[in-house]
Amino acid sequence: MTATPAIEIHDLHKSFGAVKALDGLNLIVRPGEVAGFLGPNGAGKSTTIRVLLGLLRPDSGRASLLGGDPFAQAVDLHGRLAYVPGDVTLWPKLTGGEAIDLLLRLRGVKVDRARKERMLQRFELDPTKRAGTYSKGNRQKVALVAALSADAELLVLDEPTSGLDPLMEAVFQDSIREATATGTSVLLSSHILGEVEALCDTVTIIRNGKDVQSGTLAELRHLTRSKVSAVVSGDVTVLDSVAGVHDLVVSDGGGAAASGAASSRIAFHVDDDALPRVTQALASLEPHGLTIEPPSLEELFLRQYGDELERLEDAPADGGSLKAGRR
Amino acid sequence: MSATTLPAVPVLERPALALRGAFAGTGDLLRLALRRDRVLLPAQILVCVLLFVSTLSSVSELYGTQEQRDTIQATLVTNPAFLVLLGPYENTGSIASTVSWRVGIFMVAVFGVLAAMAVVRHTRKEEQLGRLELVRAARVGSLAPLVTGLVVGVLFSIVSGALTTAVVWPEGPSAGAVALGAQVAAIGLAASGLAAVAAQVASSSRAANAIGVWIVIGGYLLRGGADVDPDELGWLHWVSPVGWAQQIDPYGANDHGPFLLCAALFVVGGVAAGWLTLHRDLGAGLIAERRGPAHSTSLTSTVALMARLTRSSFVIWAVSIGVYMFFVGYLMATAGNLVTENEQFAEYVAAMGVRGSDIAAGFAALIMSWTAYAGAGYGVTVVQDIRGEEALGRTEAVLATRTSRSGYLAAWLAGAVGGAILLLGVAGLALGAGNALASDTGWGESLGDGLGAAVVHVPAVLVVIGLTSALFGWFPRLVGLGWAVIAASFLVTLLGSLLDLPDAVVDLSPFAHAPAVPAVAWADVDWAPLGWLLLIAFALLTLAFAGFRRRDVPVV
Repeated sequence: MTATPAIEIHDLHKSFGAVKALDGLNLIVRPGEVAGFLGPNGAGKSTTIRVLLGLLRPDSGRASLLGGDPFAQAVDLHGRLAYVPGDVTLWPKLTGGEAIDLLLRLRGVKVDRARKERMLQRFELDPTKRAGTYSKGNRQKVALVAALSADAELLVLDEPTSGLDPLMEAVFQDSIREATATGTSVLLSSHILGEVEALCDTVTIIRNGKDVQSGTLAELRHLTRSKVSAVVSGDVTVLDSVAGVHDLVVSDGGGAAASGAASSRIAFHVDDDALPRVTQALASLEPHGLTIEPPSLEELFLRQYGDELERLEDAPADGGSLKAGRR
Repeated sequence: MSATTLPAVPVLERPALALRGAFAGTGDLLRLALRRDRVLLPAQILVCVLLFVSTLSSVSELYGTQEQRDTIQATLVTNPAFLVLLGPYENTGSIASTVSWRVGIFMVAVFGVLAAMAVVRHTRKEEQLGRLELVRAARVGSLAPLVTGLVVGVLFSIVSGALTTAVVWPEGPSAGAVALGAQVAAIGLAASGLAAVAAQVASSSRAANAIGVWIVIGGYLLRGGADVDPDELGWLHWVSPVGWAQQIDPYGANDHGPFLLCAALFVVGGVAAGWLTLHRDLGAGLIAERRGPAHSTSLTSTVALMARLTRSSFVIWAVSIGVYMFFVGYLMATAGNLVTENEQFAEYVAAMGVRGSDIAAGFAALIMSWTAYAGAGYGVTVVQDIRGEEALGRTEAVLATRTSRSGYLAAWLAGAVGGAILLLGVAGLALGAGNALASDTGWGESLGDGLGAAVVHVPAVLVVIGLTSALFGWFPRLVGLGWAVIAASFLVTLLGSLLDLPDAVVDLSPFAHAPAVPAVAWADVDWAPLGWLLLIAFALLTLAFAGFRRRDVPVV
């Protein structure tokens, strides 16, 4: 495997009329890596993927796919990748099985019946039904089976599981792990955060056509605060003087009064680099039931979109419950 | 039931006839249906009624006097091909009655097919596409979609009938005009009732349309048999609604009994469809979708995919054009007699560029020039198919594979160009075969003449396909303009001879430059215009590739 990134995008711009779909996007997927591509609908995920597939021409910026030019070398590059679109539409007259064979052959791949059979069984897909009668989930399975029934250097998956049930989601995750075990790189656009957390080595969060955060999950977590909660006895005001503690909430400890001392329940957020100082301070407070939760991907994601969420939630009076988790 | 006491849960049982509330929301659905059909339905009705108008004008020109009409009756009355296509010419009394013979039965079939498709469009198609699920989840009764479809069918039938009556009114007895309108409305109603049942029985709109259309076309053919041999096969008039509508006999018996029969079929069909609707699940039909193969060995390329997707539509076009041209070929000899006996027809044919020496050949050339529009029309539908593939996201799926843009477009345009040329070839051979059977011309000469008459139209057809393709390459939303080009060319040619338009205007139509082969000998053909047309077509196709290679996909 060479060190050339599977995907490298630098300062990409693309407008449709007055609408700026991509506004200076950067994205990198290293060989053998599973890269999560996160963002809500309309953030520019599908536009990015279409540029990578040579379907759209960017206005400016650089994009390279498997070391080549996605537009000029589209045909050769496409022989090395498999694509699952977000909204799979199939030819209604063709059966699922025929569509799979067609898509594989158009990729330049010889159909491996045994492997196809295995994938069909795994995804519990009936290939003899006409595509016109498939549900959204089944259409997606057709595209997934077609993508996974032959080896590829790169899988480009645009919200591939939005129509699948949890059982199939697990099958999907296993199949992706199987593919990456053989060195396949994956670009996984998704807004199912659990899936990204389970599969991805790196994550790029995109907003209004721009990458607002990217890195490994650990790096991203480092950028944000963990949530600490505990039941303590003693003077909790010592925590106030520790730098990096935020949003300290103290409430009555309730049933923890067995030791005789007054106890209180505390909860606060802490900057990642302040954690050593905070644990020292906490130790003096005899903490019980101490939990330190790293931020979930959902929190990371909502942090990027917090202001938008606030705007959306302006109307209801009890917008506080979600905000608590953010900052 | 066990003896344990349970809280009272309403028992879910299938009500025998849950009619209460079954019609809720019909008004809203109907408004939606009419809103969605606001272009299609008026356009269909307008085109059909205009056909009556243009036939009126040509009939009054050619058979304006009673004497002329009696002559054609004497010439044509025994020709079986005319009897199958048009029915017997018995009511010679007026221009309107002649129009009723000339296009009446054919239009009955057309109106029947359109009405059936309108009903299916608003019932099974909506259901198959899943939209009905969303609609029925609202406060909409189970019968509302069916009633909506039926009302659209009724409106279509009544408006078509009324307009037909209105346009033939000045040219003949008013009782006949009313009966002709009733004939149109009758088939519309009957086809609506049948289509409503078909939409319940079939589980796809494609199958429902096929049932409705084949009942109408089958009826048309059966009554053709009855007209050829009324003594032996006369009962065939009574086995289909097309036959019933024919028995109204406008300008003859003016018998409204068969209209009532058609109306009764509508009521019976509507009630039966309603019963089926109440007794089946949403999305289900009596005929299940067939299973298909789990693997494919034939779908190996974009060309194979294109061929598979356009196959059935091509076969329908080819069979329709082939059958039509076969009959025309069969009639050619008779047409020769007609011209020698009817001075006006001779003049008309001469005005279309036909030499007096070989009338049959001139007639062949004239008819084949109309077929060229059909060939171009097929090409435009294929280009529209490419656009449909793009709009539905399937082009994207194919271009994400090792398929190049040029290869993709080339595969589809091969289908458009090749299909159109094949259609012209089918038309030419069918014309030749019909002529060879009916006359003493040899098979070789006859087929050769037919093919020649067809081939000279290839350059014009390619120009129209090229133009539509160029639109697809650069402005994909505008591919529908291909039809405008065909319609405008048709109008210019039609009006050009009627209004004596200047040649410069008529020559704008790509179809105006084909020589009238076989009436014109190959040695006398002026090849320059055809060469230019081919060059223009080639340039337009090149332009299409240039545009498609660099534009965004999909353009939505």
